[in-house]
Amino acid sequence: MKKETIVALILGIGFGLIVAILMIVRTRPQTSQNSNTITNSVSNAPTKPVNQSLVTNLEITSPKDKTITKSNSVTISGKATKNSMIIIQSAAKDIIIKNKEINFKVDMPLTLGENVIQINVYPDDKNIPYQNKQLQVYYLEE
Amino acid sequence: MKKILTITITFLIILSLVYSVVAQTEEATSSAEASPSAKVEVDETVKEFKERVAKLAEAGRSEQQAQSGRVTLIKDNTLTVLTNDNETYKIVVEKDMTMIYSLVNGVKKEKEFGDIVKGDYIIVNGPIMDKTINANSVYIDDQYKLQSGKVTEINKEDYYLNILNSDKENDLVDIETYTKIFLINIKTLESERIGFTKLKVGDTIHIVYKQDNTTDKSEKRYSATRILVIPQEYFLQ
Repeated sequence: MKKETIVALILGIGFGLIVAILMIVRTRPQTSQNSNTITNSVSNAPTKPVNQSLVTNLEITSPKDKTITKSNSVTISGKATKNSMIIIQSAAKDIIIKNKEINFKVDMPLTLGENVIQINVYPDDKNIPYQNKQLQVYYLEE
Repeated sequence: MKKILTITITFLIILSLVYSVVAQTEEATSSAEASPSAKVEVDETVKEFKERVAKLAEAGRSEQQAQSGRVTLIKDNTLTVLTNDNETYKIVVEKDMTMIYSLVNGVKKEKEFGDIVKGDYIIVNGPIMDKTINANSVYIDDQYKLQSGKVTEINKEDYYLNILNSDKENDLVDIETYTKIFLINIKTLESERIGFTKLKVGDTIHIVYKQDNTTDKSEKRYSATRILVIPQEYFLQ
């Protein structure tokens, strides 16, 4: 092999490697950006900030919305942030309680027909936002 | 000349090798990304299908389902009802089979299909299938609604309150002679009856009112049946 050919080969390999390195370096940020997006979308999923550990989302375990009953009262049970002022309101009555535990249970009188009942939760810690839920209970005596 | 040719050929070979490697990596990444989304799509379809089957099974199994709303149309033996969720239901009333009652003012009275008029608020009990209810019973009822908000203005001449409701909209709440107002004692959480003059701007109130279609009042103005007041001091504790 001639000396000139060897030099040409080395130069070719050299240029090729430089371009290859450039291509790899250029594509790497894109790849890492893509993986960042995925990571971000995962990290954007609901996560609990530190003080959120004290917050319980209002949940009504019973009765279910649009329940039909033949009884003139219903037991409302659910979960809410501890030490909240809970106002349960309907056309029949207002009931105000303070829950010392997360779980709460209240007997609510019903009027004949549709009873729209709203459960309002005002946590003791005023930094925790107010929550409410509404449900319909039908007291239909046959 | 030979030198340049050799350099160019070597350069192109290396370039094509690198390109193919990079392209394969990208393809592999995109195909790897596509599979979870396709799986999610299939999962959602299966979930929807399962929910639909469960709904149909539930409708067939249980006759004790109820829906309420305002009558928008009466035709032959069917009623069209618009619910609070803005859903439209077709109610099929069978003569001599469907029981019709009035529960207005808390008193139960037997009624006829002809007593139902457009605008009535009704509760329908019966099997629900694809937005059609074969009514076992129909109850004409009063519609009560609940609202809450912060008092922004008190008009002591015309006896009304301006409130910023929970949807951040302004409502006018008329205080009638029959309106009962209760104030929460923030220490004992007992409620005591108070007069209109005890209300203050900044108080949070929970209102019960009867939706009345016979008056010209807009949806943003209503007469309170009962008001429960949380004094602003509660939020300063």
